[in-house]
Amino acid sequence: MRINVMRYVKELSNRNKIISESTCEALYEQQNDAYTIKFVFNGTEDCEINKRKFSIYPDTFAVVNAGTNFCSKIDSISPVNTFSVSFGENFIKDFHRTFSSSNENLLDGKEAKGTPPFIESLYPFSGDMRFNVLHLKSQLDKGLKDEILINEYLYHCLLNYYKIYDKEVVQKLDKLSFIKTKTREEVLKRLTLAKEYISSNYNQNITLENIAEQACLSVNHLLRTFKEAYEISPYQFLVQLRLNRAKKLLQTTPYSLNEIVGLVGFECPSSFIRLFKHTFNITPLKYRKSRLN
Amino acid sequence: MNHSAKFFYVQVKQLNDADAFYANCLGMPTESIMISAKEKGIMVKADHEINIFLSEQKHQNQTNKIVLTSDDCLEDYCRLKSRGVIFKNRPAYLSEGLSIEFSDPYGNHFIILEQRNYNED
Repeated sequence: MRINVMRYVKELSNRNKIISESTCEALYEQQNDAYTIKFVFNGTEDCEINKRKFSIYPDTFAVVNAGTNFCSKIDSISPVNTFSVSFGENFIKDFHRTFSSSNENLLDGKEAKGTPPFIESLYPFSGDMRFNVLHLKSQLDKGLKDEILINEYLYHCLLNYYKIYDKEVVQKLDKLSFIKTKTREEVLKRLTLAKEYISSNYNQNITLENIAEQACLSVNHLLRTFKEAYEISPYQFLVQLRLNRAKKLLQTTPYSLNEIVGLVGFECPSSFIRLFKHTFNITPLKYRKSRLN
Repeated sequence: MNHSAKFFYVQVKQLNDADAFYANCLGMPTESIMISAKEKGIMVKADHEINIFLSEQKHQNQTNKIVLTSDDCLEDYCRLKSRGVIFKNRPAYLSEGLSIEFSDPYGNHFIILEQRNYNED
């Protein structure tokens, strides 16, 4: 069932495709036919990939490989604006070849792999990726038709993703102390599940045991490897996430402080205020006032 | 956004050719002016904040490095490329934002910078 408020699909001659949708209710179940990056600008989109459930919030984006069975659901009082970018096979292969050959591989004389190494997960939607995608969306909302410009944005979208991938995956793999590469890759995959679970359930009363169970790791193993890879504990990651999302709600909604405290999963307003002030050097209400000004 | 007006004084070899490049290739409005009682020049309105004064003669306050600001560097890159501007490389990421570089026919170096605040919420 679908109730659409606004939707447009932009399919380019090189098979790159962009779908923008603003809807309160949607349910999709399909095999993803191309490499896709999914963004949400407000609200939440609940997704399921290979029996893994996670939610995309405005501070994250999801990457889905071609051929993956993908389900998504939107059920919200206010419209949720989703933006999905799919890359044609040749576009992504060309990009990957150019990117790989512009780096060390060229010096080493190595052949670039035919397909890019996407790990399907949530990644932080910030920095240049955010600036470029917001420009692209703004241009398309205004009716941009120039395929050269749209493809330039998409090229940079991939470039930004590769940089994020390097930071979030390649550099984290190096931080894990396991000798065997396969073990490091497996542990990082499980830590990724832990992060996805925390990000998607940050407003629930979740425990370390819940997180460890989702990641198929023992609590001790989770604590040790999470800190090794991300330099913070799962609990610190959860608190940071709650504070950042509370900050966004203070900035973009008229909700009262008590409502926001409840919405982001804190139990007590005073501990929220203390943590917020300690982290951002400003109280929540002063922060809201400063953003209004 | 910087609201103070900026001026660049730039030497070119030939005013007529320069006018064609700045007006037709870069798409910037140009206007003939008198630099002094005897010397002709061209004022180029690069944007609503930046004016470039072109003259054939050498003056002390001239520069050969012009930094222009952009709201959307990729849009400017594609627009200028379609008008025949040859860029030194593809848009590149700096700590201040996204930039592109090109030269005018007289070797004056242009940088278009889209400033990005990476610490903004």
